[in-house]
Amino acid sequence: MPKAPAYFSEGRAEDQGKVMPVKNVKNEKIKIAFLAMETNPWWTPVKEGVMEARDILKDFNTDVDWIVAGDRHTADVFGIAVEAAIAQNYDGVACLAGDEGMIPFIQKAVKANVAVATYNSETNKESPRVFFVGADNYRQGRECGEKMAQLIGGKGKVAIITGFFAVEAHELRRKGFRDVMAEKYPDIKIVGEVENVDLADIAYTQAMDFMSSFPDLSGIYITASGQFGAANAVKNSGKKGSVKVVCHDFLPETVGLVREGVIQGLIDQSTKLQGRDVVIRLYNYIAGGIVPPFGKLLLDTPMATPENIDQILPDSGK
Amino acid sequence: MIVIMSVASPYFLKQDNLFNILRGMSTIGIMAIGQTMVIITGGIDLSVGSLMAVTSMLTARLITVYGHNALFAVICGLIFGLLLGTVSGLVITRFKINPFITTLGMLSIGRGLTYLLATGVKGSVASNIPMQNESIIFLGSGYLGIVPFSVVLLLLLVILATVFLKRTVPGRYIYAVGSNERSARLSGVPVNKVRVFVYAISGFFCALAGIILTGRLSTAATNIGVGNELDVIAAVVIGGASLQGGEGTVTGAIIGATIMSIVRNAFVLLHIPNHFQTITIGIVIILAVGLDQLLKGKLKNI
Repeated sequence: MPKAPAYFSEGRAEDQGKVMPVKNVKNEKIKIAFLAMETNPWWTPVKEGVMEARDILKDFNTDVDWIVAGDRHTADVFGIAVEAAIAQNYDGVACLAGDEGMIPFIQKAVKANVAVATYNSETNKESPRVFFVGADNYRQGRECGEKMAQLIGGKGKVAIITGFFAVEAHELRRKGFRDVMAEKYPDIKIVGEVENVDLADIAYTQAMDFMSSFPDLSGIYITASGQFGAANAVKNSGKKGSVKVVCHDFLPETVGLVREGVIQGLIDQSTKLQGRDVVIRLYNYIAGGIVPPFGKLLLDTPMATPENIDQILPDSGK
Repeated sequence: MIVIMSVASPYFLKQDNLFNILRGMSTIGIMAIGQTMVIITGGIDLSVGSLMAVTSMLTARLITVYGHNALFAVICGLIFGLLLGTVSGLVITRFKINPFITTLGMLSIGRGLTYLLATGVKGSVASNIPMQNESIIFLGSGYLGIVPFSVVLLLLLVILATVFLKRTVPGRYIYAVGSNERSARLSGVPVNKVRVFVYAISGFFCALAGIILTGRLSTAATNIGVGNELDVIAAVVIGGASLQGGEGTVTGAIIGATIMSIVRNAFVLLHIPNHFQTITIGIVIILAVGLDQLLKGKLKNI
């Protein structure tokens, strides 16, 4: 196997979303396992991307299998799925690796000549994976901070509702948001940071509590899931427009709230490409020895607003 | 706690905030009514969060995907909750499987059914169902005068359940089964029917809570109710119910749910780091139950 790029090298790949398969020179059968979950709507575009890659690779003597690892993205669940993929003689495995416990399993796979690529999340501790495809969570947090500052005119009170304090991706977003405020906007005060454990009903109650506690609240930033709960609290309390909502991920329930003007900033992480690009690049590495330009291939993170939603997601209103 | 909070935060006693607290706890409170009856019989229902989710998803699916009217969908959701609760009750009584194990199984089955309903026939990835039905939204976030509808409904249900438990024969049967099952059986109480009934009622209240939450969020989410079983059981226990059975009141459970809701509200109002919230809830549960035991012991000694 060719040498992988440096683990911490990072950048945007020019062919993001357009990468196509190279010739399968030996024309040997290649098997790729995409380890996933199916427990929430975030996975819908991921699966679409994987299915698109599967259809493209059919003509290259390659099978792509969407494998549901379980209902938690922890190492005990995904590690077992990696071991099962090794046992089933897959040539390549794509998996989440947001937990350091995944590293021994990735090492085991590589030792068995199985190429591993990660998507969405991986830890700062080095593993022998070939490459990573996903968004930069810290940068996303900073972009959301900038958007919030712009929406509230650089001053006011802002609350943060985060998914889990224990999840690295959520913490990076929260840190990015806070850092922007600390560095550039001294007149914006973060009045509270709470954890909603990714649940919309908890986010709803917390947003209501923040609005009661701070009648002059200017905005709420939600780092992870349950964002529509907080947005509906703003809507139901009649504060649409006066309390700005900035949050993550293009989903039917969030996009609808952008169209209604309840959510003013909705940042995405090119979720579909976390399926499509990972699979095709993994194939290219196995079949043609093509090494991606960076260890971490960072995806674009478009920001939808009520003003640009028709340009960014023209089909979403139909 | 209310006195401390009203001094500590000028916003605590404001009407909006008080209704936020009550609305926030209304779904836990509604489920706590059923759980109280289950716990009085000496049982436990761990499946409440999942039953809430599955009925929420069923109701939303019937309206949004299949175009049924809200009333029909709500009736179907309530019947489905009742049915799943009945299944738990029947498994417990007919097959003599421990309530903890049976409802733990139902917790998993309910969540799986939620994913299945969320998936639909076309795809395999569970998706939330956004919903804009005005009637359902009213159940979750509408007002009767100045009071949130869900709070009015909760109060009504508390009164009905209290009268049922204290003033009717079937209500007294529930206490009798939990106090001493053997004596109850010898006295002619239909023990198995009573036990099936309490799980069925618990399922019904979970369904109602799920439909209300769907209205509040304008969405049926696959993960609603996750972890709610612990909040519901904690509310009932803080409210003075004994896990050994035979003791407990619906009003106590509602007070328990309110205490937990006030603690959560206090953390936001007083700007206390969130990390302490979970610790505090744990301490409140232990303190509340400890004080209750102490008081009961002292009263017995008088």
